[in-house]
Amino acid sequence: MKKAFVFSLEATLSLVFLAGILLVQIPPVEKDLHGLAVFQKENDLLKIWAKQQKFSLEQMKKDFEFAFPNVSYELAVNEEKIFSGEKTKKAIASEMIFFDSELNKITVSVSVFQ
Amino acid sequence: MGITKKTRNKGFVFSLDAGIAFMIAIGILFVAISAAAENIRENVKTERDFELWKNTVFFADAIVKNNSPEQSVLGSAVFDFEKQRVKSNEIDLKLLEKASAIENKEFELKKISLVFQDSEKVFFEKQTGKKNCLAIERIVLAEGKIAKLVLEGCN
Repeated sequence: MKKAFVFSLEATLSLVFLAGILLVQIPPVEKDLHGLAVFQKENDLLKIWAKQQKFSLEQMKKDFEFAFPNVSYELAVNEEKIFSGEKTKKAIASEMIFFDSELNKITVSVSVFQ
Repeated sequence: MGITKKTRNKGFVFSLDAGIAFMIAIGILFVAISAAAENIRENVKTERDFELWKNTVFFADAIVKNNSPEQSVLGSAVFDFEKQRVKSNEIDLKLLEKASAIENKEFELKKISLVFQDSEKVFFEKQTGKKNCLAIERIVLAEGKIAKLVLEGCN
């Protein structure tokens, strides 16, 4: 009697099916609205700066640090940028484009790093 | 001449490997049911926490975006009578002072306060036995100064 290999097609298909089930990754479900809360605060700040029409980077930095204490962030007004903390891959960012009375464009962006 | 005697005895066949396989199957079923029960418990808690987030975020949004003299918890933004529109993110302090309790099965308002750079003013506070609470902050203008509107809710 010769030694041989028994190849079963249905057993192979079952193994492949089982491997497929094990490899399925269910994406994590958002359990809270923390991201939305941060986004809303960023937009609140942008709105208030637009109302006050004050775009001094130093004052905006103070306002931002008051609104978001102890976070890593980047704040930019046109080409000028301020960065604090540690940059990570995940961030929540908002941007505003404002036109003053002389139609000069001012772009303000804020990013909070998670 | 031989007589073939047929015997048919009823009996039990005890198979050790089948027994082991059966125990393994029962064990797997037990683990699966326990995991499902734990999953259900966690989902119920997650759902409750999410409801709290949802209600607190939406109430905070309502206060800063709307103007509601009858129920200032639903809107305390300044109303510009000249332009006939609500000035969102600008708080009418007199309206906010009239804030009153809101409570239903799912949500109870605990505290509303304004935090300035150098001070804090509480507009509404209620003692509650509920332990699951959450505070949401929004940025507003109050009397021309930037402030954090802090709204705390519980369920």
